[in-house]
Amino acid sequence: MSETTLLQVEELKQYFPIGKNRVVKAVDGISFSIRRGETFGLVGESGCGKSTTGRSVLGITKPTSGRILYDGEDIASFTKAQRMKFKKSAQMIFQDPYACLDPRMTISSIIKEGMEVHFRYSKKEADDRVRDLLDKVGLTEDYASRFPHELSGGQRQRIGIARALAVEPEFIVCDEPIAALDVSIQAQVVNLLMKVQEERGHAYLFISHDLSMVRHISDYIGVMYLGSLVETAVRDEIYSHPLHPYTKALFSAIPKPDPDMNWAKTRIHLEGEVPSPINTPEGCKFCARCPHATEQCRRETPQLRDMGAGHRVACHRIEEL
Amino acid sequence: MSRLLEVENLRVYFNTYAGQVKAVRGVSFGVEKGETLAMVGESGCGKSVTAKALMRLFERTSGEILPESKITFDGVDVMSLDKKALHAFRGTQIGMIFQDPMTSLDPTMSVGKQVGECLMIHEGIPMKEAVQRAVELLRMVEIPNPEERVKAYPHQLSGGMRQRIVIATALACHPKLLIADEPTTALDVTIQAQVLDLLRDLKERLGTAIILVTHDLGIVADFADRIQVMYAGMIVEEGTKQEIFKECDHPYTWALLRSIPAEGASKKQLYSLKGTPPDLLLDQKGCPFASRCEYCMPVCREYQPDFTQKSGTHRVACWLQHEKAPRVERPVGAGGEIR
Amino acid sequence: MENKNLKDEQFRIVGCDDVEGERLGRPQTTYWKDAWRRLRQNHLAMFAMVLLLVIIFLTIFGPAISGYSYEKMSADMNQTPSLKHWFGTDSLGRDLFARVWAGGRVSIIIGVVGAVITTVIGCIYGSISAFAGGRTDSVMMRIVEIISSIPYLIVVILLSLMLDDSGIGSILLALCIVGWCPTARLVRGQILQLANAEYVTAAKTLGVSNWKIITRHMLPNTMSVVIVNLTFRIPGYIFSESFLSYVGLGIKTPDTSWGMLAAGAQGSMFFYPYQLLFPALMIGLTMLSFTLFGDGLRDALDPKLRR
Repeated sequence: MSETTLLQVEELKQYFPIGKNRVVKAVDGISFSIRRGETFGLVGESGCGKSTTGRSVLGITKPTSGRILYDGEDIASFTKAQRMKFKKSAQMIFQDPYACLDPRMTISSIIKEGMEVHFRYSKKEADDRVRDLLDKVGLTEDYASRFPHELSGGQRQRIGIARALAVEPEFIVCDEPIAALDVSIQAQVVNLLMKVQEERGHAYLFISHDLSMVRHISDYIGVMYLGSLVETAVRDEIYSHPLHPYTKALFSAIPKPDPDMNWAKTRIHLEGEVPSPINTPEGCKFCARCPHATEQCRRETPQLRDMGAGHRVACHRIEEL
Repeated sequence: MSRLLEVENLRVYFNTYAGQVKAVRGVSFGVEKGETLAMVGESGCGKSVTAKALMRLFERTSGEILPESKITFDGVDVMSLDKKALHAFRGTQIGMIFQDPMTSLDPTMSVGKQVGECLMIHEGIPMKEAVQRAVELLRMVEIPNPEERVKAYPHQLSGGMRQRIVIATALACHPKLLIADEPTTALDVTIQAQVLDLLRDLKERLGTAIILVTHDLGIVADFADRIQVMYAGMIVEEGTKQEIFKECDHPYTWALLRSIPAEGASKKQLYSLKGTPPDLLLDQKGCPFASRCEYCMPVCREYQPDFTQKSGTHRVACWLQHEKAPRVERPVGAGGEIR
Repeated sequence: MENKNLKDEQFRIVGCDDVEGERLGRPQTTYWKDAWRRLRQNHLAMFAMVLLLVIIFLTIFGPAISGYSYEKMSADMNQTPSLKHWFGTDSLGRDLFARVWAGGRVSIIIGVVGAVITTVIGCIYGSISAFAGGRTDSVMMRIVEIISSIPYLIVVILLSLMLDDSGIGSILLALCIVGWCPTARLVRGQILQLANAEYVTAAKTLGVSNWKIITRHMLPNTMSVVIVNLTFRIPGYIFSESFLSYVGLGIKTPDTSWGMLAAGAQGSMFFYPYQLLFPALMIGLTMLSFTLFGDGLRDALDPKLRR
């Protein structure tokens, strides 16, 4: 393991049993690593297991199997003190700006919540910290005494960021932080996330289905389909040379804001819909929709293979395509 | 007048505990036969309320369409329709597709009945025949095995399939106008592409006019003929697709185009508007966009700008168009690239 | 564009400053202030509240105002309402005005205390069940189901036979033994729902202790539901008490309650209808007011309705 690796996920599996003999394979054996100060973008369609991955990585749900190493230590075998340290070091920003703040608490007590656990501030120090944090996320100190319902979605999301930053974390999982926001507000939040990363140098796991925003913020990108990681690469590499047939189709399905482009003609038409993640069979997860699927794809599960320069793809037929 | 739909000075207010929310504040526009008009803007800008008001969907709720509003559809004054006529009007003249396909379908009714219901009510055909027609409609929206699927219930279908059912229901009585309110927002990108392909295909085949309400400029660029940009309950700019994407003149349109992340320009700060949209409870003095506009002038805070007609199809409401205003270079280039 | 005599200096670009777009347009409110404001706008609920306050005031001071003792008999038997006896007198010559309010005291105390006790028990039981989860949770919930399947009338009859004393205490005991079950279910459901709320997950990732999560997030957010539930249960208890007293299982003389008064007046209903009218009216008015007030409170406290 290299010096700079902060988080390493090895063969993570997260199954949820539903009734007899039925298992939802939300995450089915994925591996990736995130270096310090780096942003790893996890993209995929709804139900592909990207949010579940984010929760497992923070220890919110206990994985069915696989290891999650944080700073070289397995988070499953943490001592109590180590767990507290981890909770200070790894934070989360949520999707729904309405559900992620307690409606009965003032903004100031929401931001202070984590500080009270991990730092011993006097009341004045804590108030100063709140003011600094509000300032950092672009809000005035008038907001400290307000309640969440008085704020707009974008403002709430910034409070969510301030709450996470309050404990000075090294690693933040951003679970669809912009999905519920308007375009102009999305840009505000993404800018803020990039700005604080520049200042404090923490790492992000940025989970989103918005491919253009992920491209903008990430250094490294992983594409998930039905619980599996089908392709990972450095950002520019994956956008300019997507190799996996799913990645190609996914990227070409984004409508481009260009009135002259005949998008309907140029894009790859993908038939059908994402199958259910219940009791998925062996073989490539994508083979039911893949135009290039063969007998081998239906039998054997493809492993991620390095195609050079850290570009890893899970596809049997990658050489031929 | 050959226009299919003509809206003049539409005002929709909502009465809430906190006071009157002025959601739509004097909107005038028209739709030609067979064209696609896109309404874009952020949430709360009144785009969705405007679309729903065309069918007077707010009756008996807290919403109120003010009496000075005029809606003329195919020569019919919609505001003066009585209850019965309005009911017939909604079913046969305008179809509607909502954002969430699950909530717009009745979970206790089979797909066939749901699609056929409109035909039974408005064309008075018996149920058996209506279900037969429903099979045809399902085939039209490219649902595989329509004979089997008419018996299915909504929860047995996936999101994309459900949205196809909603489209089939909306088109059952051959409406002249289809209102699509964020039709693909709840869907994944690959499914969104399929649904958009279907809508485009149907539009060409049936010649239905479409009002597309969306916040996604990518969809607009692909799908619309004309675009209407809305902000805080008003139209700020209107024009053809080319005019809005390439020759737009309103700072808000500029901001919308500039906040799309450009390809290749990664890890740089994105262009973003400051602040949040105005509180619609408050009365508006001057231009609604003034408090967030980087080109704001003292006059913008005093008076609301009138429309300046840039071409036959292109109009913009901004004081920068005034002869005394300084010339501002358009910060958005062709294709929406950032300069 | 029409000319409005606009001056040149009105056309210079000043832009906007950073904070301006973030200005808070509305005055500051707290949760309870906001709820109170919304409650005040509900005229029916406010009317019910005023009526309740009047009734409560009279149950406290009513007997004193009348100038008669509620248990003292006199020769003026079965008098119709008059200036001397506002609500008339009963068959033993006792002043009905004094008796109605003295009886109201018992009824309202049983209603309020009963509802409060069952709510507290229900809250504690429900939250323990929700937090314990797993097996404990299912065992505790089965117990609730068993208890609530016993008809409370049987419990009351058994208790009154066993205790051989019919005061406020034994009636309360009988009502509370089965009464806490619905509240326990409600609170458990509420807490299970909150346990999945994103802000609780956020608190967990911040390392906030379980105890603090309960006291800071769970309880305050369950509060409004519990309070509304409480106001809805009070009329139920008042009615139960009246019913039990009416069938002779509740309060015994010389104490009185609205149910007792109604029961006593029943025999001579055709001759002296006013003797039945007043206690029945009070039962009806109080129950209606509590229900209307609870309705208003629910609307006022519902965060989904706020704007």
